[in-house]
Amino acid sequence: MSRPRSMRQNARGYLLTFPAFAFLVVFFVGPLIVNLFESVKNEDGGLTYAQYVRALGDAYYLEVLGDTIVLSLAVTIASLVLGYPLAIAIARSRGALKSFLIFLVVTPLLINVVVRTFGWMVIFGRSGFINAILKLLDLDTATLTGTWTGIGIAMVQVLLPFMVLSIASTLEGIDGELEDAAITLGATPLKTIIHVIFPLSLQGVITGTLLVFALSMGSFVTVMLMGSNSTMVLPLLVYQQLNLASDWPFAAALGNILIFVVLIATALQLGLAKRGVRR
Amino acid sequence: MITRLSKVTLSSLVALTFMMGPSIADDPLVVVSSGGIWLESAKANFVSCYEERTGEQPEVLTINSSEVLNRIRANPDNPPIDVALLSEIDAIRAGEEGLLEKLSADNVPNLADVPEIFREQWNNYATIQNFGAMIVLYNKEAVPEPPADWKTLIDETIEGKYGDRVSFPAVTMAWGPMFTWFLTTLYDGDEDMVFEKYKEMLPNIANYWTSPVDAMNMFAAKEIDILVYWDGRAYAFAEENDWAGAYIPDPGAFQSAAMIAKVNNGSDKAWTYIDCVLSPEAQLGHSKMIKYPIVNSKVEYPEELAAVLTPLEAVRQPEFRSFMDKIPDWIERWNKEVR
Repeated sequence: MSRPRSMRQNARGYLLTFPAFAFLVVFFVGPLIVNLFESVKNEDGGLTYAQYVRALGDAYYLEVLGDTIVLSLAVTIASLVLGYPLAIAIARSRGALKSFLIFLVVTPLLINVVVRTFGWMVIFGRSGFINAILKLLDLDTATLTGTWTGIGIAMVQVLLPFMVLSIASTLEGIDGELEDAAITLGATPLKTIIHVIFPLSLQGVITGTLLVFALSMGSFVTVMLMGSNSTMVLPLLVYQQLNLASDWPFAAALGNILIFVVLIATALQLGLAKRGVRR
Repeated sequence: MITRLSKVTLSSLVALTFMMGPSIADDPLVVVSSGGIWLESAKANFVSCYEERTGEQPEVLTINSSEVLNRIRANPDNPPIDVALLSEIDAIRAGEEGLLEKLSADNVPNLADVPEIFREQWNNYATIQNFGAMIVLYNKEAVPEPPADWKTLIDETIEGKYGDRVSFPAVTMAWGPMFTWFLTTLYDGDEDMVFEKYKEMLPNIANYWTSPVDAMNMFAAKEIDILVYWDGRAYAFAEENDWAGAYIPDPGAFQSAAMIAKVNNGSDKAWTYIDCVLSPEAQLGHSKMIKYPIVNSKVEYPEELAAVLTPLEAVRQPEFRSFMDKIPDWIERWNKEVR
């Protein structure tokens, strides 16, 4: 292929990305810049870091930030542990069974978040399904609404598809003969998964964990409906500041802190993953 | 190729212009309503009146007050909403920020029949469309003799008399700050005392609710026995369920309201819609459907409807300006202390 032709093709390729690039600049980067400006402007039109000092200098807001990160990490790990075997099952199945499994995984995404959360509230309620079973077994009833555990379960349910589909698509690309070779050489099925399959599916795991972590960090509807004052997360504080306190500068500062934390976490995950893939 | 592409683009733009032209000229009036039965009532009573008068159909959005305020704040010169439905405090904020146009009997004739009390705190930038109160809904079987007044209810909840089967609204619920203001009036204006009571009640509270639907679901499922809730829905529930009762504890309740206003720079057709909303026929029809009192003084309620409406004498209108600047501090205090 001649050089000018290759350059022309590259240029055409870049040109094709332009609509998406322009869309992101206008509708993603633009609002972020507005948000940044909103968080640092004072009443006289000058610049101030007061909102950031308020958020990062207060033990309560730092605690909420910590809780948000811990919740997101827990949801991500739980999604990975539950999702990986499911992803293997999907990658190895064929035909109608495969379609059925994918449909099952994707179903939670087809239901409105409020309706889905109300469903969990019915299941977790004092006289809900879980407590009815516990009562039948003559066991103590459990309180799951208003707790981190209840919120975590509800969030894993909806974020699981992102993890499963990311991993399953990578697993499908792995040559089946590698697995056969490992077993022929004496590896147990578990060892084959740990030493052969998992390292080869790392890209899918990275994609899934990034997606689930970022989505968890931004989730607030489930926490708002299922939580209590003792289960506060940063996005819910942003919502409160915007809609109840009408304190836009503080809401903008909290939002920027959230974005910053997600970016740092993403960079860390990508850095770690790069090292893992090289090995 | 480029020439052909240009032609296609140009003809598409021309076609688009023709398609958009008439729609821009005939932009429908954009109004706001709450959802559920409120939306049904808005369509049956207000929209029908507007259609009759103008021959046009308005676009009805079902969005909450803060979203309305955010949308008109974001585009004040060309607002996407003509008639706003706002909470009391958002209506005050919007009026002060120049986002609303003053109402007068010249452009809204039916306003003449709306008493001053329903609009004076808003300097006529908005008027109450209908109002309600927060009362007590209770399970008659579990609590045969509910406390007669608010302070007793709070103290008995703290003592654990009702187990942990009581639910109060949270300060972070949209009308939570108004309820907190109301409680401060019961404790001689002592905010610290009110937050102390909120804290002391916490161990014996099933939850401080932020979602009205969730709160009602819990009560309907008999997971709680006492629920502090909106009067219209509480009375309606008690009417349909023998085991439930609803009453106003002494010394009454605070007034909560839906405010209607014309958005500044919005269509002048908004005046017609607001006049329809305040007309005696539409007001009565609305009250019959939503079971809340309305504001047109010419309306006479049928006996059976009057029996389930909270009378104006039993409600106290909050002095919004006395506490609206405290709301951010109250929310922060609530988040930090009551958990």
